[in-house]
Amino acid sequence: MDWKSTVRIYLLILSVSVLIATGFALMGLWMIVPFTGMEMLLLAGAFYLCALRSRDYELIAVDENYISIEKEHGASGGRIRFQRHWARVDLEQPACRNQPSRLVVRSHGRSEEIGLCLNEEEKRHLARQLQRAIAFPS
Amino acid sequence: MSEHGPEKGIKRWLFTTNHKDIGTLYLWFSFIMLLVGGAMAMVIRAELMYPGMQVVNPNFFNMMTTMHGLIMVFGAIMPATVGMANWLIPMMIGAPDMAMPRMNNWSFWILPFAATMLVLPMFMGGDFLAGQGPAFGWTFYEPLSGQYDNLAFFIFAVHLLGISSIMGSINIIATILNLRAPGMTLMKMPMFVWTWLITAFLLIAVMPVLAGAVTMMLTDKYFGTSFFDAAGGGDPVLFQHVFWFFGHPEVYIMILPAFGIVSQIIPTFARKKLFGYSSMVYATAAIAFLSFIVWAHHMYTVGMPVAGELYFMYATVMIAVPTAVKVFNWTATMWRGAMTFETPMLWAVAFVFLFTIGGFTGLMLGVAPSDFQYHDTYFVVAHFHYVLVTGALFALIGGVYYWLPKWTGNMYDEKLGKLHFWLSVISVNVLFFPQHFVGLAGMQRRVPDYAVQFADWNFWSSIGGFVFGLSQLLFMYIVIKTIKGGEKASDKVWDNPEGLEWTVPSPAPYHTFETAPEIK
Repeated sequence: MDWKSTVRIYLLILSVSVLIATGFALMGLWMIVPFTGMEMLLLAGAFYLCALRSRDYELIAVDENYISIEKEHGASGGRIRFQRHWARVDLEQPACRNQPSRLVVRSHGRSEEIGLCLNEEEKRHLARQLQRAIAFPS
Repeated sequence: MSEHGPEKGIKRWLFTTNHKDIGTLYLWFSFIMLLVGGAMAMVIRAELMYPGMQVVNPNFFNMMTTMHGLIMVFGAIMPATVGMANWLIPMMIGAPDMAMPRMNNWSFWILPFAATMLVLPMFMGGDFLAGQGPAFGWTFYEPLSGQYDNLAFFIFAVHLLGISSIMGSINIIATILNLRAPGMTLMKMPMFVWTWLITAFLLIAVMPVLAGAVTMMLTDKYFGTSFFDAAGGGDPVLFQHVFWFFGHPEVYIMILPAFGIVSQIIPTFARKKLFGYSSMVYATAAIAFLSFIVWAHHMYTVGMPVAGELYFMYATVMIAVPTAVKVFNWTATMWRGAMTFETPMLWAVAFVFLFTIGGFTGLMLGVAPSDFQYHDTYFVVAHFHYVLVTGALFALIGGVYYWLPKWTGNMYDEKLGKLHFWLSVISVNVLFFPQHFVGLAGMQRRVPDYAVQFADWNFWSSIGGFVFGLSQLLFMYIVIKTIKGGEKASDKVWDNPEGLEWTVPSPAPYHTFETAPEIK
């Protein structure tokens, strides 16, 4: 759903909830108002996060000379290029057992984490695929 | 991409963010609560089997009626519908999971603590049989509930239940609005998804009202305010208004997902498309809207102006229109269909027939002058049990039989399923139908003793209650047996069912629709 529609639906829910809370507040039951406020903030946060995350993507392209990584993750994002023949793909194991591993592409002192949305199995799979893709042809 | 499965052991269930795992947790939790609440109903029926006091003391009886209502509403029916939503909505709309999986985990894991908080006061004070838990009715009317010593426990439990419900509904709204597969427009969504979307909006609208009401009870008791205390200028009748402003939509929160389940089952076994899909959607929305403007029909006898009684009466009776649209559409779907009566269909047909009886008695109660006769009698008890047991619970049980092969990969035992159905449907009518008669004759609800003129029907009602209660143990056996093994289910399970959930293998893989399906 696009952001405009999300805002419209949120305003509709907000207006109904505010109407109810105001009605009760006018009858003296003002304690409903803060609960409505908290709930509406939570809903707004949920809608905002969903909209923000719905744009997340990672595009990894490997050509003859370069690995290009274009990504959008939350508010941050950008594009980075590594020389294919110098690049390394590492799956770094975490210091703590319950933390996720990090899949990193690095070369010449620069590094970029990829596969942020993947689980462990998928990260291992992607690491193998990338390592094969950037290897010299035999 | 290679298949990846769940964590092993207890960690799978504690830390899971998988919608199917969380759905399973919700469903098992609600079934345990159903057994706990059902055991309380058995105590109630044992006491009412004969006139006079023979099994428990009056306070314990009051505690049982209170806890039975609270546990069944907040612990059994609501979590069961959320469990169904968790299991099915992502699969029905072609989403890989819920929109906020971590919040989903939290929504569930609040529940066992909330239920414990709710039940714990029964065991406080050392003498369980004295009945020291909440004993003021599930409606917790002021000023009676304000007299209760452990009120803070009760209020904290209600807050936790509310937080869980709000997080669950926000998640469902975000999932349905954001994670539909390409081509899955709103008017292509299965009815179960529609009914849950509307239910989630209802929950969002009324939960702050409940939270505010119980907080005002808390401040009245412990902080010297007088919102509902007449001695300090407050208004106890206002509590009834605010409670039912939450409480009436709550009824629809329990029944709308049931409508959705039945709307999935009937077309499959009638081998026809659901009749009047768009009118079903609009009728659901109309019922939800009307549920906000009829609350005072629960309190006709409290002393309202005649104009108020008239307004609430007309508004209430209007609900019959969209509800009838649904009933006629289910009937029209079955009309000239190539019907077969597998267990899920039996529950769905029983739902249509028996829920309609509950609807008709609701109309009788909605008419203000006649309600003065029926108010606070067993007629009301019969009415809402026809709506919530043969309505909501029957649809949920039918839904479990319908999707169990998809969940477990095994077919349930059809013979045992049918035995469970017939035992339940006969006993539930023996249990609740006579309550119409004793109610019309004037037997009050929430009383542990009654005049001897009501003895015969109460005896039969209790017999029906015991059989119905025991029948649900058979249900548990059937479900466990199906999980453990049985004839392998095909991917489609039934003869040409509609919906994306039937396009994935049985049992449904741990992760489904990692690549979104294309809907034409």
